[in-house]
Amino acid sequence: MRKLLSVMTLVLAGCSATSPEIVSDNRDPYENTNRKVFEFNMAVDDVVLEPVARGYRALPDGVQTALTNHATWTSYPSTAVNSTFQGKYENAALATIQFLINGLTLGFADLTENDDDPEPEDFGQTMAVWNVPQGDYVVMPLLGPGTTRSHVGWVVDAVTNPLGFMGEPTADTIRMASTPTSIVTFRGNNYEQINDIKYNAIDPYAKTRSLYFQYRDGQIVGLNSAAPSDADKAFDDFLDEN
Amino acid sequence: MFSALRHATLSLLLAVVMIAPASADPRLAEGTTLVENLVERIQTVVAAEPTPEEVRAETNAIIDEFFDYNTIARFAAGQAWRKATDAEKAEYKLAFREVLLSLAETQFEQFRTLEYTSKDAVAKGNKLIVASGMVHDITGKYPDSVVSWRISTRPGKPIKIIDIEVENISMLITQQQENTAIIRQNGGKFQALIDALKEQAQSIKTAE
Repeated sequence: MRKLLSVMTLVLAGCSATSPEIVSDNRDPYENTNRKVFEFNMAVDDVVLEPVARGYRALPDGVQTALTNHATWTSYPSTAVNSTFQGKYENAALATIQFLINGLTLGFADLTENDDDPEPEDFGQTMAVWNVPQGDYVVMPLLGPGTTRSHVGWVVDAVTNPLGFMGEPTADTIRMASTPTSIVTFRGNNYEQINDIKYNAIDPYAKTRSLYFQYRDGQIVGLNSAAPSDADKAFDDFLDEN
Repeated sequence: MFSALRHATLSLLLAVVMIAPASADPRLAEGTTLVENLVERIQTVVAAEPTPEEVRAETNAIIDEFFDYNTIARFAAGQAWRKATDAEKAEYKLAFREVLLSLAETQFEQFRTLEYTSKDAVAKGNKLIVASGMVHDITGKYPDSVVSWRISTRPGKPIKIIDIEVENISMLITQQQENTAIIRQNGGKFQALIDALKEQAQSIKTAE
């Protein structure tokens, strides 16, 4: 299974290969193509996502919370499965319990009122734990930034979502609506931060790429890891040299 | 009996010796105090309802007092720093500072609703410590976040903040990678970064 995923990741990386380009980050060998896709995504954001997110933010706080709760709830089955794959059984149990209890309201209300929410886990993170290489940075139309590994993980999560195997029309509808709901709530809940990148950054593409890698590393390594982070090492080296 | 007493005394001494170095690193308390003083200073400034000019002046003073601006500017420039001329370095430092001041002018008000609680501090070698704390937004608009402050503790130099990290995202690493992209996209010209920073500062001011 792990070998198959490594091959899939490499194939996906190969599909997007183009002639050598001048790149600003070695993790991003298809930068010129990625920048064009990023521009397309920004245009979609201008016309669709930002106005919809503005509408979302105009909703009463309770409605926003309910939609955010629902988007989080739809991710619990995937979190439960992937936590199990990674040996994080406590997180898997927590995600399962919260999915079942909050399922009484389709996830719109948080009935558990538990401060200890499960850590989100996806198949990209599972592959990282299995030491599948992350591959290259690829910006996908509409889906946004990722690495070949995370994009493969996204496809696997979408195909294997337990909601899809329930055979219930309601479950299928929820599964189909989960991605757009997550995108809108994410854009709405991070409205100022994303607009700050979009309108204030000197290079929004490079800033997004940097934020993506750092955030993703935090998800994979764990924010509370005692091991020195890449940033710690970078600063330590810098202070040694200067 | 004497043997038992000697054994107990030796055990106690050994325990003290083993624990002492970890708990006695004065840099950790110093770093935590530096961050707490910074937060207190910002809260005092915000409470005084400052004009934009006052915010600018206070931010300038805060940068010099609490942050190692030279290290920050050099780190943010990335490897291109070494190839830049002295004139370019000086111009870049001014332009970068101008961006920070412009951002402070527009975003200083956001500190009004934030509370900070120190959590812990850990040493990362002998030149760096990381002090962490929790930021709480009293309006409930933003969730609580862990903030880490990288603090330079180079022997013989003042202890100063060099980076702020929120949820594993380092402000300075982000700035460095963005700056590096600008330079590489413009054929390695350091001047392109300076021009972009000037443009950015101008656009932040215009958007005000």
